[in-house]
This record gives sequence, C-alpha cells and structure tokens, in this order.
Amino acid sequence: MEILQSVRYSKGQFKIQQMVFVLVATMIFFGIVAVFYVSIRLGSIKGDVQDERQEAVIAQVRKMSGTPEFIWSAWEDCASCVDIDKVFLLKNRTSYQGFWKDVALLKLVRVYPRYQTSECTTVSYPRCNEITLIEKPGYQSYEAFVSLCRYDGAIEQSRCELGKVVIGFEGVEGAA
Amino acid sequence: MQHKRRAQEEIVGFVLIVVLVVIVLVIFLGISLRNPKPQQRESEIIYQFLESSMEQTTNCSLSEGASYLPLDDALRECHETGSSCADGMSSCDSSEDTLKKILNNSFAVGPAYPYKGYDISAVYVVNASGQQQVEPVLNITAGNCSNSYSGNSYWIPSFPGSIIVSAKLCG
Repeated sequence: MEILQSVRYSKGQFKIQQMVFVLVATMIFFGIVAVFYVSIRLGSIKGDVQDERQEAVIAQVRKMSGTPEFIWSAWEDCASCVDIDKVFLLKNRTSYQGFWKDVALLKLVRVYPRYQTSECTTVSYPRCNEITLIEKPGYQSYEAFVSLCRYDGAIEQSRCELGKVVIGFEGVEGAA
Repeated sequence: MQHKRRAQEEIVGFVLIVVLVVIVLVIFLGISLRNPKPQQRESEIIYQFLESSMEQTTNCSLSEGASYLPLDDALRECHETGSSCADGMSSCDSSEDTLKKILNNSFAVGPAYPYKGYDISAVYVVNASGQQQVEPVLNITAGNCSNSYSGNSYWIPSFPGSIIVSAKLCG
C-alpha cells in the first residue's frame, strides 16, 4: 500500500513537471515572437527618427544662404537666394581661412543648367558647376537646395539658377 | 503500453498547437511585410527644392527686350493670361519645359534608383462665394508612384487665389 501511494505521488509530480515544461516552452516561444516584433517596430522608428534629424540638419544647412557672406540682397523677398558672385570672390580670400569653424567641406553646386567645367576658376566662371570654399578630409556632408543668383550682363538682368549648398561637418567620416 | 501511447498523443497535440501558432504567425508576418503601410511624409528637401526652383530664370520674356520671367511668374502668367513668350513659345510650355529640365537634373528616378518616380502638379485654387474652385495649371510625372511618398507644396499668390505647386517623390 505504501509503495502504491509513493508511485501515485511521483506520477502527479511528473504531470505537474510536464505542465510546467509546456508552459515555460510556450512562454519562451511567445517571448521570442514578441522580441522579434518589437525589434522590427523599433527598426522602423529608428529610421523615422534618423530621417527627422537629417531634415533638421538640412534646414540648418539652408540657413547658410541667409548669412551676409552668401545672401543675395538685390531682392528682399528671396530667402533661398545666394549671391554666387560674392561666394566666388570669397574663394581665394585668405582672410576667410578658418572663418567657418568645424566645417570640413563648404561648396556651392549648380544643379541646372550644367556646364562642362566642374570647378569654377577665374577663366571658367560663370560657365562652371562648383565653387569650393573649404575641402578637408573626414566629414559627413549634407546638402540643401538654393537659388544661385547673379547679374547677367548678356541679358542685362539678374539671373537665378537652381543649385545646392553642400556642407561637411568635421569629425564624422562618410558622406550622407 | 497504454501510458506510452497517452504520452505520445500528448506530444502530438502539443506539436500540433505549436505548428498551428507558427503557421498563423507566418501568415500574419507575410501579410504585414508584403503590404507595408503607405507612408506619406512631409519633406523639407522637397519644400526647399520647390522654393528654389520657383526663382529659376526661364527663357520666357513677354516681349523683345523685356526681362526674362522667373518660374513662379511664368506659372502665374500661364494661368492668368496664357500669353506667349517673345520666342513664340507659350508661357505654359516654357514653364513646363523649364521645370522638366530642373527635375531631370535634380532627381534620378527609375527602378534602380532610391526614388521610383515623381509627380509634380500646379493647380490654381480660389475660394469663391464659400466654395473652393480648383483649376489645373500644370502636371509632370515620371516613373512609378505608389502610395508611399515624401512630398510638400509651395504657394504662389495669384489674386484672388493662389497657385499651389505640389511635389511628390515616390520611394
């Protein structure tokens, strides 16, 4: 009788143990699924945050067109207009070396129309595509659309063309 | 023998439940990954693009010796009078031609590029006696545009209403 009782007792224990194993396995399974789902969700949120940050930086880059060294002052109501003549004159000015702190790259790029010559020189200007003011290695660059304006003697009026201001910040490798 | 069969039945039952749950999860994941939610995002870059593009000097001057119009004025002229430029091209064609060239140089679109297509439209909107009237001015599309895009719009005042230029870049 004693032996039988002990056998019944261990069978019950076995049943409980079996149930616990099933419950633990189910919990682990759903836990893994939950972790998988959350990681996918967090991945998309991280992407959204990165996009928002990039947009904020681009908005800051755009503000460069409003600085006295860049601004096109002939029209009062053009916030995005850059005086390309003024920027070209800054190109080889020694007094402006080190003026823009923590900036490793600063250039204007013409988007439309494009010309054959890439970098602007005194010979090729204004039929050229880029004016580079600063270029040092090791930066992450951001660009913002602006209007590149100048007085065009051929048509005897101001001419504006679509361009970009490109800024690279020091200390971060790789281009955006 | 009976105990062994009972244990086997329990294991089969458990495996069946696990398999069923896995199948349901796989179907759910498959559907959610195959049909990603359409994303419409307001983009600062596109606003900057539209604002700067509107300052682009076009090849349209309304008469010999008159100044060449910026794109926003050409669009306004296109809607208000539809007049012709000095070179014989209509102000509408001239603005469309300029905008197309700008777009071609600004955004590469196609299956191999990050942007699959774009849709640019300009409409004249006016509130007349409490009702909003909308008249199309211009529309340019390229590539394929799905429900997911980043976009923005730029307003050009044109009394008594406004011309709204909207751009969508599809990813």
